Amino acid sequence: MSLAGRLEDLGLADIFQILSIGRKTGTLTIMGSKGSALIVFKHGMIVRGETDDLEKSLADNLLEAGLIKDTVLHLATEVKKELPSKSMAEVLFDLGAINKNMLEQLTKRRIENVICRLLYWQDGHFQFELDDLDIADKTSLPDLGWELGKGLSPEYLLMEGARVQDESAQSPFGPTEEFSLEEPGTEEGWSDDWSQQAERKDISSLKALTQELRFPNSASEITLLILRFASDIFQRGVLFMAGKSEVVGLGQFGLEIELADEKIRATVLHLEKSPFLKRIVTEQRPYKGTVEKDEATRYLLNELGGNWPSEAALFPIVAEGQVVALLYADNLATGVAIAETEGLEIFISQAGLALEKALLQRRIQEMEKERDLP
Amino acid sequence: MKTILIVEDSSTTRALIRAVIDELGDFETVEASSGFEALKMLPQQEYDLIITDINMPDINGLELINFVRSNARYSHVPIIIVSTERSEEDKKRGMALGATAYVSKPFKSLELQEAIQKIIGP
Repeated sequence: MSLAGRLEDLGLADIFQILSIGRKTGTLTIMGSKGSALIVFKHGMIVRGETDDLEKSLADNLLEAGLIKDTVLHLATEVKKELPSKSMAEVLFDLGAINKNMLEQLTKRRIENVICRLLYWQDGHFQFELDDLDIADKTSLPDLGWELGKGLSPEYLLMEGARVQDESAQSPFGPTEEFSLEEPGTEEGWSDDWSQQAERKDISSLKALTQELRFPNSASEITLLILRFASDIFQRGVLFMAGKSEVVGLGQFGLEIELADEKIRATVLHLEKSPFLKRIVTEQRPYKGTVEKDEATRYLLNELGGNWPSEAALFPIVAEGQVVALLYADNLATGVAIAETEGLEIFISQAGLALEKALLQRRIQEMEKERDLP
Repeated sequence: MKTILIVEDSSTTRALIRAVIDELGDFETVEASSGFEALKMLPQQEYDLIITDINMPDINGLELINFVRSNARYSHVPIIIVSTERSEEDKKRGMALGATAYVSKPFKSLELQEAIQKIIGP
């Protein structure tokens, strides 16, 4: 069974969201004016992604990263000619030229790049073949890359893609295809510099994202911007929709747990079970410090992986005098101190106003509709 | 005029739901024969109510409800599930995901009409 349509009618973000929500398995192919792409989903997670809209192949990336020599690549190219159904990565792996961990790391970066590139595509025909993982005949792509053992969250990839787009929009050189296996945290002195870096990020993110907040297309875009901003200065976070008596998970970043997005969307915290959260929602003021233990916070942190952070930050998002959302964030992974968050607080305050504006616009539209009725 | 999106893979049930709504008058109906078709129709116009089946071949009703409720652009739209009595578990999951009401198949016209009127008025 296949689901087909045009990107002009249904955007990549919506396609990813529904495949993620439904934990779908299958193969998504896209043919657009910018090229072709192939994305493989397993249980709602992306395990493979390739496009000919990137200048360099995965083999080029391996060569650039110094993981293979050109003589090895030449040999693998000859072998691949004999085995056209295999990807270059599979040939290199079979030849013992590269280990699985390296391939997985590089493929993750490459998939991030692929999705980032696809976010620029405005047109194209897409087709999702449900429960069909036979990729050989579905695309004319010259190489199909490597399949990850553990898939990547589509929501994370969309958020990361949007962040890169945003940064490249400010750069005169546009998006790049740089590859490196170094994680930010492995650089020398990174931990010491973290606080200072975050401080700069705080302000640069404010400058970058406030502009986008002026013309949001929907309330969901506003919430996505909040998560993007928070991901610049925190290592993980969860955004909740706030009701009168409970908060319900909406989105996340940085969670290293299985089925993170699904788990978060199923998370409901009852305010009567948490004097701590209730106080923050009632006072409508941001909080930074230790998370007070109560039934709801214990449940939350258990859902986030079980470890208790030394400190965390919570930011209520207020629209029309009421808390409509609540952002939780911490730096559990490294335990580094939370940096200055004034920039985020200002942004959240602006986001509240933007939400009010979106609500007002909706009401005006409804009133106009009623007025136009015969 | 308020617009209702009917999402149902059975053409017979779609026709039945449309007839029940037509009896109420003053409602426009738009039909999708699958969850995926509904997904593509959602951005095309504003809907005042979605009536959806659960068991559909591509994107099922529960996935559709989850998508609608997690997307701020549509999350305010009320949803009525129309599904078989046997799927009690689906009913629970649908309501937990944010459906507004549930009507069991086979349903009486009046039962569905009352649910519609209760949610989006006469």
